[in-house]
Amino acid sequence: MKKKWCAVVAAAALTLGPLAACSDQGVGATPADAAGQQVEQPFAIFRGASLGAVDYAQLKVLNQCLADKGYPQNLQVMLAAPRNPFPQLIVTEKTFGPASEEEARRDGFGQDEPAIPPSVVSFDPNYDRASEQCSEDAWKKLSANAKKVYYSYFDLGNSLSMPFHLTVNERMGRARWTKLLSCLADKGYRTNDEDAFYRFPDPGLFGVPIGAGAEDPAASWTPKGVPGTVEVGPATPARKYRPSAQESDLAVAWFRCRRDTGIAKDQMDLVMQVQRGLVAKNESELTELNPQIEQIAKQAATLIGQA
Amino acid sequence: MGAMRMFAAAVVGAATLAVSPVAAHAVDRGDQKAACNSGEICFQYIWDGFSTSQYQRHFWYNDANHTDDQFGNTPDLYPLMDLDGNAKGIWNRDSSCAVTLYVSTSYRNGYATIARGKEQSISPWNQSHKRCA
Repeated sequence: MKKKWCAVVAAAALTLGPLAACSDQGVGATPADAAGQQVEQPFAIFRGASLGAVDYAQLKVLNQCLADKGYPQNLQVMLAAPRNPFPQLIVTEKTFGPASEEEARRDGFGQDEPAIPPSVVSFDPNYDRASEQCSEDAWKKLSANAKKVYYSYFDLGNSLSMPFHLTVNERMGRARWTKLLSCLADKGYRTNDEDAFYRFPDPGLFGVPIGAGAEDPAASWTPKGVPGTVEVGPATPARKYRPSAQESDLAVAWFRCRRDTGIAKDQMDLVMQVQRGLVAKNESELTELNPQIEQIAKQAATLIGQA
Repeated sequence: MGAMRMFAAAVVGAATLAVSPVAAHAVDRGDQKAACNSGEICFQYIWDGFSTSQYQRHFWYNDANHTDDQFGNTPDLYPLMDLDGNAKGIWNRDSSCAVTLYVSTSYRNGYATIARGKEQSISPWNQSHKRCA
């Protein structure tokens, strides 16, 4: 059913012909249509997983090359699997706040964090030269145009991502945000920066510390910086998010106000509209680059034995 | 007013004001050198493709809150001017990760992802960043 709906939506809403295929990003918690079917969002056309596969393969070949030259640090600490570098293009209700009261109480405005590899930092010019050479060689091993397509695809992702939130917020209109502010005020929450809220309605503007548990414990690491050395920082393990009671209370109020004012539904409707517009605006780049990034991703998987 | 004149005016204006105290995260200032070096995630006050080392802020890791960070002056890296709302360029020299920028603190409202090795201009709306998001 997913494939069918994907094709229907892409063909009807986008009329993009060659792009009317399903994404490699997954459907996510997409809006339902009148018949209750999950409808794939226009941004699903972006091949984020393929981009992640190319990124991972190039890094692995680069790191193996460094190890062969006597610098095994990067290879030893790299992630075990690729990640989609553009998770923000998978938009769900949760993107704007908790999607239920239960979620609000349990998660507040946060989410569990995946592990992050340590930072490898160099004070060794020989390592720097080897790294630059290995990187160029790794791109060439993927394919003659892999590097160009990779960076072009990041630019494309940012062409979709950068204007997205701002456009949705603007089209929601000041009156809706005033309504949300009023509802929150009735529940005892007042923003400390109204201008910032109208510019970007964020729950972090109500004087309640949120996301306090998200600070990276490795952020205060300072390497010794001895010339001629390469240092590996601390890894950041995967973490469960635990909101404070204050944050959970605000999250419940935020969820109820968004639901009761109709803002939650209106915003997801606008998400579809804005995504359609941005996909249409970038149609030529998507048409040109999608088959290329998919092809390079296949070659990349074969190159590192993950096909 | 040309970009350089505006820049100069901003610098003079900022220097005339009482200089803010050292930021809470001052220790996390990359390799303590003015230039953006290998392994660092570097923000720039005025986007010039990192052809200069003036007014940059460097990180090794994530930062959930740019509102307590400041750019460093050259050559002593004395903290001057807030990073939050002012970074117009980034160079991602991280060893392993693309870096995601967020409009809000605590990694909310993802706005852009910067590839490994990429330097580019950005919107000054960036209040947190994360590696390998």
